[in-house]
Amino acid sequence: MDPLIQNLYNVLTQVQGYIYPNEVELHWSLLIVLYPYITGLVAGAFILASLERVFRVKEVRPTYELSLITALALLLTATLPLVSHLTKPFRAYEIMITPHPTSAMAIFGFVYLWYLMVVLLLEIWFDYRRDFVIWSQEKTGIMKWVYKILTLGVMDVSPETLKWDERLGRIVTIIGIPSAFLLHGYVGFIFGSIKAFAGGSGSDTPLLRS
Amino acid sequence: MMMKTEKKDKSRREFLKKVATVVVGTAAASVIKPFNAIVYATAPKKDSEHWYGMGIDLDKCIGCGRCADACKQENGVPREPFFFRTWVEQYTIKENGEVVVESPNGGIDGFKQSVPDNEIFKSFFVPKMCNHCAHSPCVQVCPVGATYESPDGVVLVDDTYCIGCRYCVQACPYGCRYIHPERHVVDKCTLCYHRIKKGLRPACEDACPRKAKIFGDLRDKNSELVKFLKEHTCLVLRPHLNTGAKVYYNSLSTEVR
Repeated sequence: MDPLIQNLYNVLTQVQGYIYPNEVELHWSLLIVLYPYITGLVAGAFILASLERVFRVKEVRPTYELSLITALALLLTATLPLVSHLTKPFRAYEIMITPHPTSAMAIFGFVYLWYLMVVLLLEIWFDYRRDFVIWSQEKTGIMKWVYKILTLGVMDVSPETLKWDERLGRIVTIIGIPSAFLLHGYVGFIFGSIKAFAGGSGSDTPLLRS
Repeated sequence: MMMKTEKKDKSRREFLKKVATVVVGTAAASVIKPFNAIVYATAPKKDSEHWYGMGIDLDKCIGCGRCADACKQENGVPREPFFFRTWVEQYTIKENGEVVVESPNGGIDGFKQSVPDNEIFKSFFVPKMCNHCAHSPCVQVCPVGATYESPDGVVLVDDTYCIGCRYCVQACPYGCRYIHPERHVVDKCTLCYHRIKKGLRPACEDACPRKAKIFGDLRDKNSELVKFLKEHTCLVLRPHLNTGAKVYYNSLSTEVR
């Protein structure tokens, strides 16, 4: 017998009272819970970085780069549990190319992209651009070319330009703080916009989740 | 002479202004268009020929479960007791007001009353199925638009498009959706769309020995369903959710959820 069906028979014996028969299967389980957990770490790491960058808390300076890279690594993996939860994971890209505008989940793809592309990648690029330029001149072989591509052709490392990097990076971080709340609170919006789910449906759910 | 040039300048400026308005307006409208469901917050006007719904006469239902069985046979629904497009619930209201609801195997194998006779105030059966809502919460939440409403008011799923995120399963307040364990996409009542388009009746209605289910076209003033709605006081399930449900129950008790 299919392990899913076997498991559902076990679950059925534990049901007390009455639920709709189709709801014996718990549809959003561990893999879905992992996502807010991971984005929680992303947002936390980002806030740690912005403490140094925006609020000038000198005590957390040593953690700055680490927390940004941590945020990026975790954000890239955050979607893995979501995609593997889909019963048709190879169709996941449809959310991005044919989004349904009334669905909170479809718009989530763009909230996620905003955070990844506009906030994290941009900030890390401004921080590491000088290093990319130096590494692209020092290293040999493939890595030389990898770093060369990562500079996006901006090879200028004069103090004037570096000052601009710093300034723009700060602006991105300032935009990033509300974006971190948005990314995390949006999970609450996905749950909160479900009418049928009395426990989660409500206008305060996004706030509670963020 | 001076006056004339000024006037000409002014009219040219007006003209340029108008052109700019039209260009910017068109550009803005084309950007907004895909999002017009949000901008205008109304569904498009439905002017199709048919508008299908279902009436269920609870006074007639005897809880035989033939409808649930016929549905499974007709539509290839897995036989396990957690996958149903339609099922029957037994409601028992006790003398002390307590409500007991049971649906062993969706009612396909019949019912046994678990409450002793002397404690029962009343008992009745409620066949459940997709309500084919006019403002479906499931259609609203589908991230790719795989679930859609047909022009004749039937909520359907595009099997080749569904990504299996289960958002719609969560969103349906009536519990009418499940993930098909073999096809790995969401599955639900189609009102036997393949049958009704050929002029046949849905399998569940056909199988009902008491004619408790009345399928029909709400646009057709002479249809059995419209007649049924005229002659009885009908209600829909969970009207406070404003789903625009189109399955109408006669003699629906307030206890039914």
